[in-house]
Amino acid sequence: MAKRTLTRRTVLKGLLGGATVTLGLPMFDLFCNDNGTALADGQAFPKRFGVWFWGNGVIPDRWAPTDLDPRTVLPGEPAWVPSRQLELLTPVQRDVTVITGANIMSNVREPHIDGTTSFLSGVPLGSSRDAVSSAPTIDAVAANAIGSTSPFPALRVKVEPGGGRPVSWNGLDQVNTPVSDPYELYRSVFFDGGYRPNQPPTIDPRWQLQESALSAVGDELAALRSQLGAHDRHRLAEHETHVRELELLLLRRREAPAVLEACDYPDEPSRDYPTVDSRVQMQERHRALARVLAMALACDRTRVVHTVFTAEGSEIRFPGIADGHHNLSHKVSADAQALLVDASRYIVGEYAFFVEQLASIQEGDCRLIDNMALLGTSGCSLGATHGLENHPILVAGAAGGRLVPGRHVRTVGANASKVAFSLLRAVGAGVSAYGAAEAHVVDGLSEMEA
Amino acid sequence: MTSVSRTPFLALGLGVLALAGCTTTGMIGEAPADRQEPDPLPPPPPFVAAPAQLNLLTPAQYRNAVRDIFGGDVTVGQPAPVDQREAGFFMVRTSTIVLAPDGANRYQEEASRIAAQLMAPGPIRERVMPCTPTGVVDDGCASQFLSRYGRLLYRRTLTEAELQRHLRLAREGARLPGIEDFYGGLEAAIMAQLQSPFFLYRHEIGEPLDGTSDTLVVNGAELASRLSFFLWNTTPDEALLDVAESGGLDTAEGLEREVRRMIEDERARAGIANFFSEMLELEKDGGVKDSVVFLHANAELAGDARRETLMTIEDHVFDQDADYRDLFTTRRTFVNRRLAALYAVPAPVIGDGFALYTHPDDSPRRGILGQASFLAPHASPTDASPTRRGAFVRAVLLCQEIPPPPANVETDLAGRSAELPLREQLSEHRDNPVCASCHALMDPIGFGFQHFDGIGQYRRVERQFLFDDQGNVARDEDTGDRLVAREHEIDASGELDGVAFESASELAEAIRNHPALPSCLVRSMYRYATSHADLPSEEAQLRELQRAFITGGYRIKELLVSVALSEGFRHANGLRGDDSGSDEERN
Repeated sequence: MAKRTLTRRTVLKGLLGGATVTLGLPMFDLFCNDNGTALADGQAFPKRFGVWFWGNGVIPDRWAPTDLDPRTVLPGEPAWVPSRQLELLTPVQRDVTVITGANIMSNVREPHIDGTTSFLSGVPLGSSRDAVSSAPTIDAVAANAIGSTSPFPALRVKVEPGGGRPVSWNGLDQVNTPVSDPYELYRSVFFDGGYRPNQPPTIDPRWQLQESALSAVGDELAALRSQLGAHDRHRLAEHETHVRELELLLLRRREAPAVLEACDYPDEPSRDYPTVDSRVQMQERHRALARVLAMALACDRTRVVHTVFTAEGSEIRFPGIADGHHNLSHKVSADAQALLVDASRYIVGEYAFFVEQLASIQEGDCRLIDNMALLGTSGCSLGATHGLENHPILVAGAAGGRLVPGRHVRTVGANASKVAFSLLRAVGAGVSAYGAAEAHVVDGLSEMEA
Repeated sequence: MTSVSRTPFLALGLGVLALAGCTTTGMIGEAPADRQEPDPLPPPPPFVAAPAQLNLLTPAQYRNAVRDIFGGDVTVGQPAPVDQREAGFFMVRTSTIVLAPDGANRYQEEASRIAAQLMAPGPIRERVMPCTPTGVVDDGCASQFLSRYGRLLYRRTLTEAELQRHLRLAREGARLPGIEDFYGGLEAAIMAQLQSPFFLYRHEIGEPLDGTSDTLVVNGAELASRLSFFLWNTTPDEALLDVAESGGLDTAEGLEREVRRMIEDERARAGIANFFSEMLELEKDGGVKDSVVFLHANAELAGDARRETLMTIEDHVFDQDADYRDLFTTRRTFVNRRLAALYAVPAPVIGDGFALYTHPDDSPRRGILGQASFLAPHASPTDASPTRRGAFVRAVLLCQEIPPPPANVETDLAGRSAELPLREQLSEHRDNPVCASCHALMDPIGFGFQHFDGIGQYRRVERQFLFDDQGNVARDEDTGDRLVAREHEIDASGELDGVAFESASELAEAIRNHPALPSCLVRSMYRYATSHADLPSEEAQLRELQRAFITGGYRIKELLVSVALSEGFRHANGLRGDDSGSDEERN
């Protein structure tokens, strides 16, 4: 197979640095065929899915990019100029589509959780403030569909340490707990099960003991289950399913991995992140986690990643801002709004960092981001009202050619569920319908699809 | 039934009053009994026990159990978390939580690590092994170990089938190539026991009370578990299991004797600490406080403050056996050097430890609401928050639910100039009727705490600092002093359901005397003890317990006894709630 030595980025630089060039095709089609480029064994690179979430919304009125006159835009160049909040997307602008004007549909309003449940699971929140929606979140749907053959069906992290409202669950009362410690993530993904990138694992005879113990556990779960009422029987049935899956997962984690050119150990994260100026080191923590996640995707340890930068209601203090983010988000003075724009800008910058990491990983003639879809969103639009209208939605990646990155898709009150529908379809986790009640849709948002 | 509503005190605030819509008139027992005779509550429906339950161990219970059974030198990492509170308690959440895949993974990893520690050559193995194996396979020795520790882990004697299953694991494991070791084989069986649902869940099957009703009696070993996790927050010890399995808990006298023994045991102090820790949300630390706004803020503050409150409670409940309500007005507390500096009181002479300190009678600081464990978390990173503090008093101490703000209401305070005192900024909450209906229930309480800043230090004036463009407090270039934007005198007056107060000290009295305070504690204790959200069919039981608590002089130790002896604690409904007889598994 002929190997190209130029990365897309250097080609682009060369083209744009020289004379005016007219390119007939978007860059993606030029270098990546629609199926993604084949692996050595003839299989296509897998499609990946990710969610990148932050709490407390944005300033939606000042969020949307400015569209350029299409006649003045060079082919292959973005047709929009980022707003200040979106400014740090600039280096990855060709890889990110900004969707504006979409609404999250929910008839039940419970600030700071209704948006998350109604968009990310498609089911408006139930009446109890404690309960979590009954449908799995989009990352859990994707993990079931495209993650079930990976050593880790999904990897979930939370950058701000400590608790907070959940963002991922598999169904009613079944919340997925993220990892916050970068070193712990690094250790479990790159060392557990004797894993070594591109090499057979170091074998531990104790694995056999662990496997036989697990299979006995499954039997005891079944024995207890038969004595319980329906509600508790369901709970134990779920537990038993996870134990049976874990038996398979442990085997898979201990198999010799496929050889992947871009796969290597990530940088070893720091073990300690002391506060600086009474602030959590969010950027350092996020970047350490993001590097591990990116490499976990490159090594095909997982195909689904989930990052919670901050939870809804977080009182994190961002650089340059005295107030806690949630406290600030409830203020609408000009000063407060300016600070909130700075906060969004900082948050979007971290999302862009993750996209850059994914774009820097080469997969054949494509980059990892070309085979991925990464949703960036929050739990509300305007924090001050806990609004769900004109919701902030970013989508990075081309999902193997199914999505068109680099656009500004301006909608007029589109149902946000359509975005979720399109994303699942694009990564090969397609559903026939998404969402319940007013969030229900049976089709995607065509403007974001190829 | 004896009359319930004869005492006006009782009728007030007995139920969990959901303040839906937050109409401020006539919703809550806003006037003390001697000022207004409230309508008596309608009699509750006859008592029916809650369905039998399945409670996942909390991470602390898992850790405590493993260390109590195998020894305090065994390291336990992070078992599956309990994700959130339900009805105010993690303990209640354990009855509904569904284990997620990451939870199963954590249990597997923990089991593997613990088994490896137990069976590695060394002092732990020497201590826990009841025998010396005669070879790679020694069923007799393995059986001694597995039946003994299996009984402690499962909180009941293993069935023969279970023991044989675990023995087979040990035997086959010992013979595996690469293992070929008795202790290695035993590891497999220990891992299985540690991941068994019989260890990880408190499960109740029960026995029929009689042939005519659906009522079940929580049986001996199951009741031992209920008692132990309620009173000790850990697993039953061998002595308690012996009593339970020999029928010692089957009579009222036997049960009471055992309950009183357990309450006098050291472990009850940790157990009741856990109850208050959950109820008062002591795990919350309020995030990272600005250490320039608050010069006494430090990384140890949250831990110190939690310890102060738990020591105060332990002293109050166990050593003083005092009236619960006085916990809100007591002058007694325990401080270390850092807290003494925060409170500007003399430091204890003994090094880094905590020592008893009694605040003077004219101090504004009284009771557990005068402590940093309450004042700091219910505040923002840079300031106090009357709304959050007031909401805590309503929801946690008086069991009155406050609905979330309505949709699409700008919860903005900054329409009011930031130059005004916080009380004036918050006036939006009073003047806008949409906000006022609920905020009237919170803010006027919270104002009473305004003399305490965002980490709980006393302040005479409300001071707002200037911030630079890094978001940090600006300093004078020459002197290095913090630059103050403005200062306001503090007005700490307010009212709590018709009782006016001028200061935190008077507010403490008002909370102490609020009729909903004791009944709310009883409800909370019952929820925690039975580990489920109380049902309407349990209201009659709750009223009985509330009456006993009040007539008994508000003593918490006696409340523990009466809860443990109550039908609600000892019985379960055999219909198991939603059990329709059909298998609804979604597998």
